[in-house]
Amino acid sequence: MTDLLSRTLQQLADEAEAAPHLGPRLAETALHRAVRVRRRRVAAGGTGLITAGIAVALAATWSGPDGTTAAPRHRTPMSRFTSLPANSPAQLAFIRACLTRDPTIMIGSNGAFGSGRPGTRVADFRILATSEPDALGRTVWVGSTVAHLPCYQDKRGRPGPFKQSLTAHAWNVELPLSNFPNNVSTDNQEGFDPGTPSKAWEMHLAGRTAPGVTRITFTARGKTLSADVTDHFFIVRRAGYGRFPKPTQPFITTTTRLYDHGHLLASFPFTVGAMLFSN
Amino acid sequence: MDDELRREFTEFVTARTPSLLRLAYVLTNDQFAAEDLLQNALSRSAVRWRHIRQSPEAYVRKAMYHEQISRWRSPRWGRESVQAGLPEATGADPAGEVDLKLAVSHALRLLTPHQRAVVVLRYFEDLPEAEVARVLGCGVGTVRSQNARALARLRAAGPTLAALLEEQLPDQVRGRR
Repeated sequence: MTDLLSRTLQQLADEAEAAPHLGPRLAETALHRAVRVRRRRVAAGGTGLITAGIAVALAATWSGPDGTTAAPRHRTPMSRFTSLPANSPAQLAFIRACLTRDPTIMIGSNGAFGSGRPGTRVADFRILATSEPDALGRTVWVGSTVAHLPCYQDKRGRPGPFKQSLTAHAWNVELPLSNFPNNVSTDNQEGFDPGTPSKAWEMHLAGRTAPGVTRITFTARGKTLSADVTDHFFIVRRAGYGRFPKPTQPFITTTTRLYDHGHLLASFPFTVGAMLFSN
Repeated sequence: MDDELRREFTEFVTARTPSLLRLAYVLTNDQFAAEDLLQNALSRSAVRWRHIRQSPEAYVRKAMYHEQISRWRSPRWGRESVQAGLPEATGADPAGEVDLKLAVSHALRLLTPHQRAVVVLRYFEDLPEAEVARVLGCGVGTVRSQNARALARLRAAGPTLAALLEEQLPDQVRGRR
């Protein structure tokens, strides 16, 4: 049996496809990442100071006299960013499977943004955040410097089971600051209602936080939804079969908590679409 | 990293990618996951290139084994579910080779990443148990037990594989049961 295993493993290895450009691409990415790691290590020389600074800044920003909420004194430019996380080869492959063509970019409801510009092509999109997996798979929030949209992945990691939209929403940089209380923005909140109870439904909330936040939770009606925050981005989702849980009211006020590696940074009331908490 | 080291690293990766990707593929059974695994191992290697440049391949390979095992430990990793039977029956082919490869390939998916790493090190890389233990950072006893469990799981993977094994190598299979 061992000879058989050796032979079969060799045959299996023969299936690996090393494209001619793969080696240089892997090397370039590895070197790029190495530079970032070194920068982090250099920066980590003052970790205690930085952590303390963040804690003080966050306390000043988020904690009011009652310990729950306050208007932030200093706001970060939540609606714009200078860089996006890099895609790994597998992530890039996923994006290409999800976006079968360059998406149509919508600015609010005012129509399409010019195609072909930087930030509008498939190759410009990056994986921003991935929801916790559930029985139906997960929702992957992808975006470019111009726009963003959700992609769906089934439990086997393939695109699906929901119909994929190829319309991306432009980052809404014109939103008033009052829509970003406590440095949390909700950029994408939508649901997929198949219209029949026999098919699966999905709903999600994707957004951004200030730097230093690693986890965010929303609690309302005895239910808590939570998500890891990676590079400012997060996404929470609900999915299932049966009747699409339509809410009786459009919005609901949640108790939103921000954490940095288990340490509570802030707790405040935050209004989100109610469908995530409807029955 | 200066230009000389960067050039050295790029040359190493370019030259060894086909071989390293084969190992990554055997560990993951998926082209994209294999590229991902190799990319992460190379990223670690790039950080330590100055120290490992005399013998980089061993470091990269070891990094891949450890990455694959720890990736499985992560709760965010989409684990494959263990099933009693093979996903689908394979059709017969004249030589039985394709059936066999598919059956073993499916059966390998039933192993835990640690068991799979032991199997790959033992039967793909053809390393002795002591060397496997050194690469994985565990004891020889652990390697032996993981190997025995892996082989038992492969044998018990399903009637298709069992039949093929009997058909292909009756003496070896029967002699070890």
